[in-house]
Amino acid sequence: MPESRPPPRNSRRRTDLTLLQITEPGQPAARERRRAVGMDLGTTNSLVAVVRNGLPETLSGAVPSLVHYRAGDAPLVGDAAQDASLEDPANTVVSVKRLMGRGGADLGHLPDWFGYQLNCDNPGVPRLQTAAGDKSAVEVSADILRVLRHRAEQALGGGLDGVVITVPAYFDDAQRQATKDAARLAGLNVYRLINEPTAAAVAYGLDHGADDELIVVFDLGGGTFDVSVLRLDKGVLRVLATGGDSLLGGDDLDRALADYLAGQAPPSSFERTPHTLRYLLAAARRAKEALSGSDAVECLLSPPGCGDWRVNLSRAQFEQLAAPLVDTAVAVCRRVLHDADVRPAQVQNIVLVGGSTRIPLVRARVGEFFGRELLTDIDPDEVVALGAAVQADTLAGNRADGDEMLLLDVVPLSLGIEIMGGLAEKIIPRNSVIPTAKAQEFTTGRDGQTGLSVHVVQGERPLVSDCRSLAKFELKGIAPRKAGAARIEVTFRVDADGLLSVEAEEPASGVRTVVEVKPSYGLADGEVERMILDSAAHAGEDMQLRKLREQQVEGARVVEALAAALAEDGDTLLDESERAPILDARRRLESEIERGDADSIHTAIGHLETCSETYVARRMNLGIRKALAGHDTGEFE
Amino acid sequence: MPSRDQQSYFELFDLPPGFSIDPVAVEKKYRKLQALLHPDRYAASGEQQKRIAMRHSALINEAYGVLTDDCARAGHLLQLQGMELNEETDTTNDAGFLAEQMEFRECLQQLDEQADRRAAAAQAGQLSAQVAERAAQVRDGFSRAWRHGDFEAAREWLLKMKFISRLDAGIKAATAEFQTEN
Repeated sequence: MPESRPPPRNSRRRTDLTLLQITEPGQPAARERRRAVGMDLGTTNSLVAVVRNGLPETLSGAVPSLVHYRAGDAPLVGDAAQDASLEDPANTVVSVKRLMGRGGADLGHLPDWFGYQLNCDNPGVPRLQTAAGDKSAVEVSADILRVLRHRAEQALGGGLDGVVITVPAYFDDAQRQATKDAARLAGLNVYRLINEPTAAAVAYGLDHGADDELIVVFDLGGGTFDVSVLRLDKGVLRVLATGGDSLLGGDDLDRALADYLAGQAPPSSFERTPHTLRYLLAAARRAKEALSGSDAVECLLSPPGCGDWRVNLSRAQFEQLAAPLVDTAVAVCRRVLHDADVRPAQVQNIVLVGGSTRIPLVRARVGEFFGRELLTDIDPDEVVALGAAVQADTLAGNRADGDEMLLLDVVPLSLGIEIMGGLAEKIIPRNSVIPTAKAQEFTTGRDGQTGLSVHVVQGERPLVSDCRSLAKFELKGIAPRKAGAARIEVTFRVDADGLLSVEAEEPASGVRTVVEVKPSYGLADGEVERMILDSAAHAGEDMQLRKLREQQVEGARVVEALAAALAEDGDTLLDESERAPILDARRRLESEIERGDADSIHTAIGHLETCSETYVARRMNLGIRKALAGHDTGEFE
Repeated sequence: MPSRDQQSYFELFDLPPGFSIDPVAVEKKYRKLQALLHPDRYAASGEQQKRIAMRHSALINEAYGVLTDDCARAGHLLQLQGMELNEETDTTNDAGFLAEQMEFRECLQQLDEQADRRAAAAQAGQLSAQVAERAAQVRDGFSRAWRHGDFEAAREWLLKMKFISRLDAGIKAATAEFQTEN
């Protein structure tokens, strides 16, 4: 185990200053609108929304998150898979969101409610066994996203430039990575993964345009639960704290209720099979929904191959079943408010999101906790997709002056590393604002040690075994020294999607390694690429060619950004001797782009970035100075 | 022109270095900087731009965190004077202060063992008030020492600030537990 040294406080890390084309906030977009949509990939239903004429709208209703696989035929998704869900449960995937980013060990005891068989033979990602072959949760989600993509493309009359996809705020790194992989597989360019409660707050803010307001988003969906406390103030939406449970939702109520209904069957008239369970789940869901509007409901049950029976269910009985779930949700609320250092009475508005917030007991208990009326003028099923659409429009650069909101979101779960004794040491605490970077110094424990293993975990518990294992990696090539003499600086970064990357550097030798954090429960290296190539849309496309194209596009962008910058201030910020090596490096990159070797282009980009470091630092300072010195646009005053 | 490696977080925010800081100004500059550098402004740009934006935005977040936290800001000021603190080994030698901290810790322990949760919550409130008073004194101490350029004394006050901040976190955590149990 690595011996960790305390991180150097306030350490000023080496910043990689390369060229950033600073655009002043509120600069009008001098080009065509990009086609950008928001997608809500839900446990039960999925939605796609877009901004048209300044306002977000959903495109042609919800798509049930159901995928029916058939041998030798394209999968049926959404409403088309509804009947199959009852008739062919083994080949119809429901609630796939619950399987995202989960390993065989997590899913080993997959309840029989799901109705399909898991293949956990491979160490990485478990696969569902279907008539169309083994499918990972990522592939199933990609099939749902493809349907959303086609709907959007049809409605907008062309290919999408980029999308914002929502994820539960409480999703860990592996679950987020899985979602992003699914989007890539569906051929989508992901501008950003944003948290569902944050998206809801964006839509809320658009309607309510608040001035320094504290809001809480209570998001109880089909399979996941989030609570976020946010401050909405003059175009800035800041998440103060978030919490939740990525395995808690309406699904759990359906199962509890279905169990209850099964328990009322006359002796030996009911048998648990995939078919009967799906039947009961559907019946339970209907009963649950009916009980939101009436005090009692009569269920007539005749699962396939079983006897008939009848159950009279009162709302009180249902609430008894639902109470433990609601208790958990309220306890989470309390903790999140504590994390945000906010008292319930200070909260100005509570935004309810997710179908399960229609349950009267949920509304009553949440209202009681906050001691106020709850906001119900927002559609709890659509608000997340609408907010995602607004954010997609912003990220695409389509929104005009002062009309865009700045989102500052947080890490939902602490990130840390394993230290001696099987303990987890936190490096990035939960609720840190993203993006974030923290450096930690390590040293060797033995004389002459040249490698160091680092185990990255996520979670709040002190023991590593109680946290989620994200990745294990080995740092190699450390110059042999006496124990404790080597210094290895490991930088943990969480980007604006909430995804972690790790970089290790030995300052003495200057050896730097970027460690790709491959989630322990994620798809293996290159697997997504292989699947993209396997998919029909890319049949025949060559992997190398694809890589080259990407590098050529990126290289051209770098050249273009540099040209624009030099034209602006290349003469004032650089003297002749400083300009020459930059121009040299640019010429080299240009000729590599022409020559057409992906790796050489990549190297040439890196070289140009190194050469222009000083220049970029000067530009950046200048830009920051200018921005801070005034010229207030008024929007943040 | 200063290179960023030499820049302090105060310079980054274009604020005068000092322990007392105008929270409104910090907030305003933070928003301006993030409005300029946040990766969301470069989501439709190339990989290089995205990477740069992410790093700068992370730096701004780090700076904001340091400037708005008393202990971190004090530590940063001393660091700018070339004084590094070792979190694990450095501690104050003020016996009277340490004895008082022990007392506070015992009070906190007793809270946990107190059977009557309501009474415990009330006691936690009292303890919290006492600690807040002590925290204010210690902050003043640092501020004075810093203004007089007595960095050794300032360092001593910072070590005390850290004690109190940890204690305060302990009280807050205990209070949250009472609430959860109720």
